Amino acid sequence: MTNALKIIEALGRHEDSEAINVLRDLGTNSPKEEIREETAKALSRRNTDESLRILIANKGKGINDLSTKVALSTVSSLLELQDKTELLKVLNETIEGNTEDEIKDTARSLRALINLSE
Amino acid sequence: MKIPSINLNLFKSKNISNVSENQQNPFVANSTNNPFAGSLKTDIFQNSSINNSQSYNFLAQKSAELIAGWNNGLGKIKNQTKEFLAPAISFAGRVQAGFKKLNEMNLGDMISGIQKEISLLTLDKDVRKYVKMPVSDLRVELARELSI
Repeated sequence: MTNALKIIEALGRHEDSEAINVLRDLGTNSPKEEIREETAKALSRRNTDESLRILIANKGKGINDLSTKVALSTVSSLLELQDKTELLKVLNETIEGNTEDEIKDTARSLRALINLSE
Repeated sequence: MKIPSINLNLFKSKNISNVSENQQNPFVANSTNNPFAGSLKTDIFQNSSINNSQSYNFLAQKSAELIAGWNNGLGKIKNQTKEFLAPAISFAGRVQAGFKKLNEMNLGDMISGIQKEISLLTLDKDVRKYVKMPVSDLRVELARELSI
């Protein structure tokens, strides 16, 4: 594991919520798939409104990543969350309030997947 | 105080069965509030070289000393019991305080804190090190790593 991946994992577990901003600014914008994938996992692990919103309601990030590998990996890590309360809340708000149809559709698909897996 | 001597023969000269119930009890006095305050009903001391007043003063004194001694003894026992039980009481107090503190703690937070610590133990030592570092330092560190 490279140092970058170790730092990303540490940011996913850090008690300071400012870690989310670092993951958003540096991790999700990295040209490297591996970094984006690990960043999505770290944000998913934090399981807060702010961290989940980055993965769900942003074009080109998280489940909306242009890389199928990153998008599916993000979906997988979100499905693994034991407490999906916050996730469902963000998904519902995204489906109802986001201006991008593509983002709404992806969120709707993920919600359907969660309902099926429950 | 000089203890008065009592002539023991004085009891022999009296037929006690003839005296009334009150007279048989030398502590029954005229005053109901203070049994030692009044005059003696019985005349058992009448042939004695000491008078009734002296006898009563003596009895009152000795009774008072006895009561004082008893109270003093009780006080000592009480204090000794307190001293003896003090460590146990202190321990019980600490246990009680501990339980009170436990009750005040949020069990959910406590468990999640323990789980967090355990999960950190299984991590790579570098990750553990980064988790303890300030986020501002991690931002710089990550930016440097990603630019390599």
